[in-house]
Amino acid sequence: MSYLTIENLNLELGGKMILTDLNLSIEKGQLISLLGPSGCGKSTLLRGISGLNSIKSGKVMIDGQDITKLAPKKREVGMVFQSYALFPNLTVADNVAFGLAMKRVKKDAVNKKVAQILELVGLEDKAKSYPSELSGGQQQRVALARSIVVEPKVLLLDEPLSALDAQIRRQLRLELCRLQRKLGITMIFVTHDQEEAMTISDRIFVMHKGKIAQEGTPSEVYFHPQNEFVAGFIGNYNKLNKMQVEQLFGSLDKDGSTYVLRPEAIDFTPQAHAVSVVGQIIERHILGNVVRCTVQTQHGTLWVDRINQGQAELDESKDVTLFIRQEDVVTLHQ
Amino acid sequence: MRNVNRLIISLFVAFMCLPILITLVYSFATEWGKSIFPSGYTFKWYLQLYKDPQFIAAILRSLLLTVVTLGAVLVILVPSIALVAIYLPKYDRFFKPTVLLPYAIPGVVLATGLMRTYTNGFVPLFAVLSGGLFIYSLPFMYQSVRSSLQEIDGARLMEAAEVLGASKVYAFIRILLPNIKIGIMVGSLLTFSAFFGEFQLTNMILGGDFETIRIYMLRVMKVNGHLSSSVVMTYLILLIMVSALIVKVTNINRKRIIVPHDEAALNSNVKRSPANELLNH
Repeated sequence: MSYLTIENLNLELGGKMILTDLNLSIEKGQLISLLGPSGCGKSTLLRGISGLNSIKSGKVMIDGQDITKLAPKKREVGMVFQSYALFPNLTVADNVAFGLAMKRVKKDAVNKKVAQILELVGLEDKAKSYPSELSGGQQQRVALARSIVVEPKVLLLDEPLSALDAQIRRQLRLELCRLQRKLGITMIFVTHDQEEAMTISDRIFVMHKGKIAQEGTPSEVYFHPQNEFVAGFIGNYNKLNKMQVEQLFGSLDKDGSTYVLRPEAIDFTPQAHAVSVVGQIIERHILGNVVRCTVQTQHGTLWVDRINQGQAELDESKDVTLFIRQEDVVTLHQ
Repeated sequence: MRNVNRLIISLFVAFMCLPILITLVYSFATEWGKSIFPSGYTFKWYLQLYKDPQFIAAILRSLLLTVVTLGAVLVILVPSIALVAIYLPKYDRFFKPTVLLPYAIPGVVLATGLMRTYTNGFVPLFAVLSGGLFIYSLPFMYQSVRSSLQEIDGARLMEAAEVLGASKVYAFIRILLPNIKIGIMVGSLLTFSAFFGEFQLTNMILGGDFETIRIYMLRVMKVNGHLSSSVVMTYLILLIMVSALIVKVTNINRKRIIVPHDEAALNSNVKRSPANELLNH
């Protein structure tokens, strides 16, 4: 049985159904991401698990215990908020100690644990500082330490990095991963950033309109999007219809009417079992380490991604031959 | 431009301070009516005032009325504002116009309504007056506390405390209150000033049976202008002292209110513990 199980969850806010018949299961020690656009219900799901939003129907089980009706304080879950939610009137040490104090842990043990966890997040010298004296990254570390120190069964992170600048965000993302691996905590990470989800997650749950649109490992979700929404949200796939695919490959041994093809799966050099298509580069955009070419072919326009090595042959107006393998074409389900 | 700025500021300061200055001078003047400057200066009005037991009694009555009503406001109104703001935000649209009603209802109307409803009942008139003043505090307290709650994102702090194991009451007392104390203090100050100097309701509901400082002031004004000025100055100084006291209390050094921790433990070079050691401790 999974460590965290959600069965047929329905959650209503202000008379509007936000989550409908949602099912989800997570194994112990996994870091999973809830990925989706704003308003898809991912934060509401997190709040439902934590007890901050009451559940209309369905069941939430953690470690075999039904916590659906329990008050937040009895659920043994931790939560890290986007806005940190540190207590401004308490020092860093007292913020971290708050949850332990609520559990009536002895003072000596509290002191020791606080010192350890602050060292773990690299803030041992900030114990006596107030939250207002810390940077955004440091505040989020304190929020993380405060949630981890009480040893929650599941740690919920509601877009914890979205208020930080890109560099700090990347750094904290990796630190979070390291911490999760080290402590073996089960974490649910909410994000709308697919790169973030891909980087840190053991599994990704893509959400759309209050439901799970697809779940899988980052590779599964990326290489095999199951539907148009996931394909559109996860990557910049080339979308093809049945006629285009049949023109490319002749006959096709895949059912369906809509297909996607990753831009980096198309090659400029001959590949085994690949068909060739002649085209012209009509646009070229440099995306840092990747160069994206828009190629006009007789079957339509295709995006092609290549590692950016300053290749002159990828300049605009150049005639190119594309090589596409049928196995890279993924069928979408409606 | 700089001179214009100075002129505007000077006019403003003069507008604010001149009446107080003139009242102060008048309260020390032996006589001031037949010449530009007072004919002499004396402490006799203040001595006369402070020797009057009715003055001391009026101050004590005003303080009693103010403290009792403010206490009720703090105990009933502040949690109500927080409750609506955090847990029942959809009702805020009803709460907001309701708290502004005292601006719309003239004191005379409120006093008449209260008297018609309660004078022949079992409720003591002091309680009726206190209840009336309570209503007058709504706009001051609501605006101050609501702004503080928004500033600190009170809802999120309560949620964070609850997830960490705190009850709603504990989270309110230990986390929310200390972080909105500035708003509460500002609201209290405004309310205190309004209550302490309240005249209309007090005069109409209790009148001479409960002579507060403002009613005393009115009575003295008819007798002697110098004495009345000394009452005004005393009243002003008292308000300033109370305000200073409240501000002082507000700025008391932040105390650690959860778990006092041992500095040595925090500052010692604790060996980096493996994850399991930390979790299984």
